[in-house]
Parts: sequence; structure tokens; C-alpha cells
Amino acid sequence: MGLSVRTFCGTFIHISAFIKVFVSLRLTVVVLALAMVLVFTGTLGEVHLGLYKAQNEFFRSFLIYWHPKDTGWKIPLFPGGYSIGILLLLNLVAAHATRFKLSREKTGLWLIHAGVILLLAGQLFTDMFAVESQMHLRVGETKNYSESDRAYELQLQPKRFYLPFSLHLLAFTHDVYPGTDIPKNYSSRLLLDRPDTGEHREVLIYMNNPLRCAGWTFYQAGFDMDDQGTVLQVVKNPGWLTPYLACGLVAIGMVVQFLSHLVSFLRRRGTA
Amino acid sequence: MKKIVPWIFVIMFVAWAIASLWQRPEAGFRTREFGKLPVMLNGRIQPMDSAARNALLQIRARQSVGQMNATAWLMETMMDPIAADNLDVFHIDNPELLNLLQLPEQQKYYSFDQIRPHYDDLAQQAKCINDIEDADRSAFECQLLKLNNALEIYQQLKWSLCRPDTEDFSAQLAAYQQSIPSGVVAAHARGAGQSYDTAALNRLLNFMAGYGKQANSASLLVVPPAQNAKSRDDWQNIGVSLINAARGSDIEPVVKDYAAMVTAYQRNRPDDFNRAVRNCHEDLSHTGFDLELNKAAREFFFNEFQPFYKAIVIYVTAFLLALIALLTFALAPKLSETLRRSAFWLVILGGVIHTFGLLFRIWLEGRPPVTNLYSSAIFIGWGCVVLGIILERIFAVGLGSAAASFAGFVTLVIAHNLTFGGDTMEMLPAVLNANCWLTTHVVVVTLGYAATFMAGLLGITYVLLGLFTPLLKHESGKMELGKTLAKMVYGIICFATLFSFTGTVLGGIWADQSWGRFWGWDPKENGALLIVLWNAIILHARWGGIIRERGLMNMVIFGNIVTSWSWFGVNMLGIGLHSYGFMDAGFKWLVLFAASQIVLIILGMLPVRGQSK
Repeated sequence: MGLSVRTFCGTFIHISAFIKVFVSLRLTVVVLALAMVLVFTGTLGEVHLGLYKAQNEFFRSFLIYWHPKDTGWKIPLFPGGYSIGILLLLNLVAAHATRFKLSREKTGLWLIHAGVILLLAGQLFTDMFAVESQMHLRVGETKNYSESDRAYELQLQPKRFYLPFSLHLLAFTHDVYPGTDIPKNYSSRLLLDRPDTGEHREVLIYMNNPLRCAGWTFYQAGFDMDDQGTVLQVVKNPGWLTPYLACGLVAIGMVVQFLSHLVSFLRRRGTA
Repeated sequence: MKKIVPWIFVIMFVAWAIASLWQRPEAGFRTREFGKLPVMLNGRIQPMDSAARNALLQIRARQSVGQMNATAWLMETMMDPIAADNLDVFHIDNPELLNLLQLPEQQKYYSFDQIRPHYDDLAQQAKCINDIEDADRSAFECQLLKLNNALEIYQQLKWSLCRPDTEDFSAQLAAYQQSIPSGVVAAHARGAGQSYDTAALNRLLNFMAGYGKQANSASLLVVPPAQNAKSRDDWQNIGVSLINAARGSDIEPVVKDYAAMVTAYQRNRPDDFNRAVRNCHEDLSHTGFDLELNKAAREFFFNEFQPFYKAIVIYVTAFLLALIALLTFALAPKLSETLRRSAFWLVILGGVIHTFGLLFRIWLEGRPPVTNLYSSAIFIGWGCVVLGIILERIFAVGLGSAAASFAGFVTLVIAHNLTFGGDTMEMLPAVLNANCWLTTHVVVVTLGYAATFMAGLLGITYVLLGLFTPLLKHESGKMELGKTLAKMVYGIICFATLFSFTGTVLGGIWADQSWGRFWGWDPKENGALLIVLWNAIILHARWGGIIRERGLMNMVIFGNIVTSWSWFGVNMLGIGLHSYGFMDAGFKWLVLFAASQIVLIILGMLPVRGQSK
């Protein structure tokens, strides 16, 4: 009996030591440092592997592996983007659950961390649920689906995503600055037809001005060499708003936090 | 004394800045009036003077040729190409390249005449090198391409007003105009299968062949669009305009004015030349191009005033004064205080001129302050100066002024070195063509860079003062100098974290707006993220008690490496959507800079009496 109590206490001490590490600032610093190493090596990896492959290996993974040549081995070298992101998320949540009290002086910190949590969680969510596809339209053509640029279906045609509306390309324009070949603007004038709401209108999509409709967003992504066709990036991302909110939360939080630091500092100097 | 000396310094420099605005009217050829003429180049209206300076910077890495200013050189190149071919304007310093061209090594600049015999070899080599990836090119190959590009710019300028072998451009135009009616009749007759005047047709075709070549070779678009043109940006080069004249429209008055200038210049008749320049201004004004004339005149003023050069001189002076003030504040407090105040007021004066330049550029371009690498350097410098002034206002120990003037000086010198790439007010490609996002994301994130650099600079100051002086332990104002520095650095890191985080996320939001992806792991995005992470690490390490004063200083010095990587390093990778600011020669400097920072960090770790833990 005595033995088991002692074991229990021992385990408890171990667990609380573990929690202590887990909620500590030290872990935050270590995880942030790991993130830096990851981002830096990932950037270098992009040079050799290309953006897409490097992203999958470094950022959209739990572990980064080393594949020695001709051995078929997979040796894990470093935590990947998912592991680091989740670790940081847990560290933050745990720290708030145990160390931080809700008080007026800590308002800023709470806002900042809430923003960071929202940002990380939102990006994980986006990573799981966002759909990226493309729609290629020639002038005069109408389509009610977009196509994946990577996944293929059985008939070896790109995977299609059907939309509750159709787009008809009226015109594509491609302006350059006078006397140069620097592109000034690309734009696609389209006719949007949505049977379920009866919507029927002309829309103009150009750089930095996407069309949002029924949860899908259309961006100007490319064009045909003869300027008679357009390529639209078609994205469905239910988490698209999270970065906007997160950015607002963190910015407000930092302003609150640092201003209160500054004010109290200046006041102390004033009275000292 | 404390009050008067700063005033003397400020008045002296203000007088110097204003004096440069006052120009004596030129005797002989009025190059300044010619320099104000508007021309369409790189997709924007600019004065001849800017076209000349930017071309010369790319060719010669200078804004003048000996005593000749840029516009005078441009006039010579366009109006008397045979004489211009003999001027030493091509900057070549690569020994292999000199060897290829069989040129003597002791010269620094070479003339077109010297290069001409090997011109074809060079073009041949350049063609092969163009197929090699940027990253795989050797120094020789890069220099060869650069020279080839310079030669191309030079040739295009030579063809911009008339064919380089023209003897009397005005007379040539008159003959051309005369040949048009009979030539056109002959051409129609030939088209209809009737008998025609062969001589008349050949005369016209001969002219048109020459102008056709000019239409393809000239870079300066000096002829404004006709009244019925679609857009007022549709400027043409003289060759195109002259070919259009054969299709029924008259020879444009502006073309005739330029022809008169060329003839007068070649005959060495300054009065005729000046009259033709004046006529050109008037003809442009009469046809409704006052807007372009004014814009060119404004930019001409900006070029001549050189606000950033003036700011450099003032910052250097301020830095020296602040440095002496810092080193003497224990020995001669009164002198030190006088110098400190002088430095402070000079930093403010430099800042005012710097701000003026920044605002003037915004006005000229109709763009937010940061649109390319060059303007980011100007803006980072501005941010550092403003931060430094605020620090000096709060702490009044001279450190803020010293850091502000040093950062202002260094960033403006970096900016100056970036002008060799060409026009600094270049047009923005479609992806970046969004003022709203440029203003929010780019400006905010660049301020984040500025703050991180400023913290790093103060960190370096701390290490150096600790190593070489006992000053860190000295009381200055209300606390020890070392403690003051730590407070400054801490405050700036907070500021840097706020701006780099917000700026980076705003960049993601821009990406979401333009191609539907908040975060794409683009190298530039990653670079910005590294700064955010590093600043966050510093703050958390400080709050967690993992680092103290010295650790803080060493960490902010490392921040310099992180920031310079993000600012310049990622552009050297040459991939991703942000690689618009690609540059090759800077890599060596980046490595040297990083190495110097590492050395400083190691020095910062040495056990030194003056520093606390």
C-alpha cells in the first residue's frame, strides 16, 4: 500500500515536472528557435527541390527525413512544420491554462496569444480543408467547374469541382507600360450566372481584385499566349478570415501591451 | 555656448543646402533647359536629365563624365555620336573581360572606339551566357553581360534622335518631306500595276529604310502622342513618328525642334540650339502636354537638389559630433553637452531633408514610399533616424543621435549603390501594382526591418563601448549608460516585434487577396517570418530570465544577420514571387556583414569589466 502511494506520488511529481516544462517559457524559446531553423533550411530547400516539394517535405510534415541514397531508409532528422506548429500551440494553450491569470495588466498578452493561437489553428484548418483549383477559359467559353492542377480522376482527366454557378469569359485584357514589356494589369471580364439565386451579372477580375461567390474565390492567375484566354485560380477556403482576425487581435494586443510598458516607464522616469 | 554652437551648425548646413538650389544661368548651350525636356522611358515620363543619369549610372557607375554632366554627355551621344564614341564612359574592371577585349588594364573607363573592334565577339559570348542560369554564372560572365547591356543602352541612345551618320538633320527632314508626295504617288502607281517614277519611289524608300532602323533602335520616346491617340501615354520614338509622316500625317513640330537642336549642336551654334529647345518646350505646351512638362521639371529639380546626398553629408557630420560627445562626456561634460546638442539638431536637419526627399519621391511617383529595393533602403534609413530621434528625446545621452546618424548614413550609401541597377522609379509589374497593400504591408514590414536594425546597432554600440571604454558603468542622466542602452534596446525590440509581425501577416493577407493563399512559404515571406520569430525569441528569453543585459545585446546583434538575410539574402536565391529585387554582386557583402556580426557577438561574450552579466 505504502509502496503504491509512493509510486503514485512519484508519478505525480514526474507529471507535474513534465507540465512545468511544458508550460515554461524555456520551451517557448526552444520551439521558436526550432521554427527558425526549420524556416531557414526550408527556404534553402526550396532552391534545390522547388517550392512545392520543399513545402511538403519541410512545412507540411511531422518529421523531416533523410533518405540515404540507394538504401530505401528513412531517417528522421528534425521535427517538421506540423510538429512544431502543434507544439507551439499546445505550449501556448497550456501556459494560459496554468500560468496566466486574467488581469488588466495582462490584457495585451491575452490578446496577442489569442491571435497567435487563432492564426496557427486557422492555418492548420486551412491546410486540411482548403481546395485549390484552376479554371481555364477561352474568350466566349462557359464553364461551371474548376479543375485540380494536381489530382487526377479515373479517366485521367483532372479532378473537377462543380460550382453552383457558371462563368462565361467575355474578354481578357493584358496591358503593358508604354515602351516596355512590363505588365501593368491583367483582367478578365466575365458573365456570372447563378441559377439558384437568379444572379446574372458582369464581373471584372484583375490582379488584387478577386471575385467571391458562394464560398469560392476566383483570382486572376495567368493567361494564354495569344491573349484570348484566361487562367483563374479557384479557391475554397472556409478558414480564410482567420488571419484577418488574428492580425487584428495581435496588433491591438501588442499596442496595448507595449504602450502600457512605455507609459509606466516614462512615468517612472518622470517621478524619479 | 550650449545654445549657440548647435545653431551655428544648423545654419551653416541649411545655407549650404539652399545655396545649391541657386544656379547661375548657363552661357553657351543651355544643357539644363534641354535636361528638363520630357521623355517617355521605362514606361514613365521623365526628364532627359533622369534618362541621362540612369544610363550613365549603368554604363559608368557615375553620374558624370569628368567635367561633363550627365545631360551634356547625353547630348553629345545623341547629337554628335562620332565624338561621343571617343569618350571614356564604359566602366570595366574585370581582368578576364579586359583580356578578351584586348584593352590595357591601367584605365578604369574605356571608350566605345576602344571596344568596337571586339564588339561582335562580345555579342556572341553574351548570347551563350544568356542561356546559363543566373546562379551559375561566373564573375567574368556577369561582367560581360553587364557590359553588353551597357553597350545596348549606349547604342539605343545614339539612335534616339537621328541616325548616327546624319550630317544635317534639319536639311534631311526637309528633303524627306519633299520626297513624300511624289514617292507616295509612285508607290500607289506601282501597286496598281501602272508605270511609275522609280527614282521618286527609291528616294522615299531609302529614307524610310533608315527611319525604320531608327524606329527599332531608339530607346527614348520623345514625340508626344497625336491629338487622336487613345492614351496620352502613347509616346513614340522619332523613327516611328517619321514613318507615320509618310502615311499622310505631317512631320511633328517636336521632331523638327529636335532636328534643329541636332543641327545647331553639330555646327556649334548655341543660340540656335537654345532657341530650338525653347521651341520644343513651347510646342509641347501648345499641344496640351503641360502635365508632362511639369512632371519632368519637378523631377529635374529633384535630381539637381540631391536630397539624399545632402542628408548623407549631414549625417556623417552629426555622427562624428555625437561620437566625440559620447567619448568626452566623462572628461569634459560641458563640451560634450554642446556637441551632443549640435549632433541632435543636425540629425533633425538631416532627417528633415531625408523626409523631404522621401515625400518628393512619393509625389513624383504617385506611389507609397517603398516599391523596390532602392526605396526600401531609403525608407529603412528614415525609420532608423526617426527612432533614433525619439530615443534621443527620451534619454538625451547622445546614443540616439549617434545611432540615427550612423544608420541614416549607411542606408543611404547602400541605396546609392543600388542606383547602378537603373531607374529607381521603375514601374511596378501587375502583381505589385496595388497602392493600398504597398502602403500597409510593405511600409509596416519595412519599419519592422528598420527597428530590428536599430536595435542591432545599439547592441553593437554596447559591445564596443564595453570593450574599449569604461563608459557603460558611468552615470549619465538618471542611470548607468549600459542600463540606458538596455532600456532602449528593449523598447525598440517591442516596436520591431509589433511592426514585423503585423507587416508579415498583412503580407499574407495581401497574398490572400491576390491569389487566394494566405501563406505560400515564399522565400521573402519566410525571411520576414524569421525576423518575427527572432524578435519573439528575444522577448520571451528576456521575460523568462534566460538572458540579461549582455545576452540581450548579443541577440539583437544576431538580429542584424536575420534582417539582412530577409532584406537582401532571399533576393539572391532568385526563386519565388518576390525575387523582383534580384542582385548578384551583393552576396559577398552579405557574407562579410554576417561574419562581422558574428565577430561582434563573440566579442560581446568576452568577460569584460565594463559590462554586466
